[in-house]
Amino acid sequence: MGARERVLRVLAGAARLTDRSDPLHREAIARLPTETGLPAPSVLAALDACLERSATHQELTSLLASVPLEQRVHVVLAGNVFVAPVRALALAWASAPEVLVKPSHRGRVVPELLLRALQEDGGRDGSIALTESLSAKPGESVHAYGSDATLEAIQGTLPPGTRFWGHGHGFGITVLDTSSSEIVRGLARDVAYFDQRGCLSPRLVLWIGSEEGGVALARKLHGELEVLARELPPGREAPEETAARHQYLAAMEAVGDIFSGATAVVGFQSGPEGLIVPSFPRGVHTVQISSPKRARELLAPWAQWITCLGGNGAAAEQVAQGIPWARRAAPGHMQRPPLDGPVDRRHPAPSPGR
Amino acid sequence: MSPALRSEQLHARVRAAMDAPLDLPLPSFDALACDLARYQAASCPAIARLFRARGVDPATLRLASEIPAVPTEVFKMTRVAAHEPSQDAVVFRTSGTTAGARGNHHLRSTLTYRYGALRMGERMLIPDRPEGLRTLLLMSPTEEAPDSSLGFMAAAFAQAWADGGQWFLRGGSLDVAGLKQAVAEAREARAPVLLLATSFALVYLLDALAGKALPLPPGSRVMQTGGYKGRSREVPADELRVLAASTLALDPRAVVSEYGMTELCSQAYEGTLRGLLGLDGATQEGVLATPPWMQITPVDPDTLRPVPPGHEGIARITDLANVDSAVVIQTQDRIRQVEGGFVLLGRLSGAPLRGCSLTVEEMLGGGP
Repeated sequence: MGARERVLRVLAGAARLTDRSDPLHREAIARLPTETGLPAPSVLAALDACLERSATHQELTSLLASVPLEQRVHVVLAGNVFVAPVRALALAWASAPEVLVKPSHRGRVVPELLLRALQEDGGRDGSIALTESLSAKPGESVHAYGSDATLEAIQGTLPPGTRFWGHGHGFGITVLDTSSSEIVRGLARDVAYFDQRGCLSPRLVLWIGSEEGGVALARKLHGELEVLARELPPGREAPEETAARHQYLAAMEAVGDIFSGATAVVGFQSGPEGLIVPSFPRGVHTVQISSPKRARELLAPWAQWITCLGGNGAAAEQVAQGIPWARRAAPGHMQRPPLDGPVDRRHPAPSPGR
Repeated sequence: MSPALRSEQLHARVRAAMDAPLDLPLPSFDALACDLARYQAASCPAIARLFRARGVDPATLRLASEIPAVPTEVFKMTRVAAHEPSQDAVVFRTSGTTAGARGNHHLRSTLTYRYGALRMGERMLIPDRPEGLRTLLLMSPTEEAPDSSLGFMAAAFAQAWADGGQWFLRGGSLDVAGLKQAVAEAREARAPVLLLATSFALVYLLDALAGKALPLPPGSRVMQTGGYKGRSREVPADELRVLAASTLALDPRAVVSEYGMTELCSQAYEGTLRGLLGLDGATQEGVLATPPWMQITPVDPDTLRPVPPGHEGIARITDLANVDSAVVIQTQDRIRQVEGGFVLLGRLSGAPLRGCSLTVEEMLGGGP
């Protein structure tokens, strides 16, 4: 078996986690709410909607081309988005037949279940094993997912001759110049999955249009989020996130409108001088901007962290030209990019370890 | 009365208040703060909006504590100024090294800023008026960083107290050889030195010296300020004080921490040098004292109400020198009030960018 088959084995294992009749699915549903702090209905919905378990031939070809051939790859996983290990393992195993995975303390369930599925599938080629420590040797690669500070710390521990591929802080934005009910419903779903813990989640919405249209969009989005909370209830909020919510509300009182309810906050500001990005669950900052050019100017200080750009109008297209590495998706599809390589395309090549 | 004239009158009142004794509370503090707030609410749309949102009528203000605080984030999002952009004398900008947009502080006049900075700086950094003082600056010169409020203040010190100062951080590089030469010349002339440094530049210097001493002349002192923002390795404040003092042959109490921020026109200082000189009683390291025209109150991050005495909160700062912007700002700096001032505990944690993050502790295996 080659790299393509190994990736297909990972996807087949992932598919078991969504199969209602499979014991691995039942275990995932039983354990993930405790591990993630997300309620069971939200876990189930995210598994069904966002867990990668298939890919087209072309996507697989792209994924295989996105990683160099190696003998052994080490993976350090983050714990924020519980479906993320599937792509991370697929990429690592596409790259090398031997993979060692260090899961996050907050994200062990999916890696453990995936590995159990791989052990049970009878495949003989390659190996993936969990480890509690990182032990990369010269000539080997490390794929790491985490905060920028964490990645720097990891890279600093690597011996000379290793290759390091870090995927750090990131978030999504949406650029709209129309706001149909379907678009807003899709956007709300992108926001609600994983309570915005991932780098694909939109936290900032740029409305290229009238102020009235922007206010209406913010109001509609907030309404959709509150309705959606019945289907996808939010998880636990950390004290610092609660504080961040209050800080955001206090700031918005000076600059714009706030739509705040039991589960979500959507702020609206017209013609901002600068952008801020909320850092609490189900918080969206919406701004009205006169043109795509102005949007690009305002996004410039944030551009290096933008991993995904949602939107499907001409304005989104023009803004995207300034952030060519950002994945593009229509609202409602930001959380499930094609399995054609890393989610984060900001660093197409590894850098040396120290 | 035109806004410009009103502003001028308020500036004059604040400068007059700054002439009051620095070791006594300012009797006019509340009245002046409320007058400033009324002027700002009448002239600055963002502040007017905040007053409306909080249901506060500027006309009924009696106490500074009743004034809605403008969160520092707002300085990134919109113009916080009671004057027109065409009247900006200077715009100070927050550091560009951290994530996202930079905050802008628009000043119609720098006169009050300079006046207050010199008044408090003299008290905390040169209360003994050392003769022949030379200022050496480990920070970017104003021509390289014209929007730095710290650079503005340091230049004001150097011009007012010494010979204009010598700057040793240019183009992002620390001129260690030039600094050594300047120190040698000061030693030769037996001229005390005031070394004004950002924390990260001080760490750069200590690293560059690699344990070798660079003794400053007797009577010298250091003012260090600011965070690191990823520009050098971070050294805890107490460790940095000890390292700097031993390298520069100073008493640790001659290393004075300053607390300021772009959104403010006033500064707080440790009183350690005054303690060393026997001008005040025992002054504890890490305790920052404010001038009488500046008050800091720790508030609950959720409710924004003052916390009980001795409890930790985030700093709500009333700065009368903020005449044309926001007289009360809400920061995310964690503080605790103590005898003689407040202690800075760091930034409100856990509110960075979300997304694909895990902690270093977790990665290293120590997390839960």
